[in-house]
Amino acid sequence: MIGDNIVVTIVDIRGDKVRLGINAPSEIPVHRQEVYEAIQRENIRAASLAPEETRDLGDLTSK
Amino acid sequence: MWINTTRFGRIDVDSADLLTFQSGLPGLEQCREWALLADAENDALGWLQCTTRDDIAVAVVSPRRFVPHYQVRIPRSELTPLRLHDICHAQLVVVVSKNNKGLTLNLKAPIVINLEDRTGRQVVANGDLSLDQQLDHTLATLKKSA
Repeated sequence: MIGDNIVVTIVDIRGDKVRLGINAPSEIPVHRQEVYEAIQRENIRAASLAPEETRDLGDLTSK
Repeated sequence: MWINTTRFGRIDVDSADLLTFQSGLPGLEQCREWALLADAENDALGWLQCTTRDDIAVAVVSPRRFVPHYQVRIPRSELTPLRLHDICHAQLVVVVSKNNKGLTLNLKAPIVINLEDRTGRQVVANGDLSLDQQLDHTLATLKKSA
């Protein structure tokens, strides 16, 4: 996810904790890596959904 | 414009109805152009069909129909690329998926559509929302505000 336009700098080091600064053009999404990867996996899973599997949706709308 | 789809066969979509996702979707970054289709059997359901990959489509719903108190706070940096000048030009949908217990909704990363520019983007909302909220009969009582 870190591409050519993204600059990662070390802002602070305290003991074993390193704080990073991330500079990126605003159009490139910068997320915590884990959240982004989780969304990727979730989208790939969602893209396997077939119309037949959605037939129960009508029963689940809130009244 | 005719496009091939594995779910719906060969369909004709109006070029003016297409949506451009400049960054694609996470995990589906190669899909930049999508058609928003209505499901034939269920008026609560739409399908975002990738126009360049016949097998790639995601089911989307308007979240308030299933989670009546659904609210999101979205960081400005997430919305800036969409160049929304007026909130009434925005439409928000969430992606439907499934796990072994049934259907789920991605409440954490909704898709925001700029109806004026015909662009879209999946954003990450603040707060403790679920990527795979179970859709069952208890969902209507879910009180969620981010």
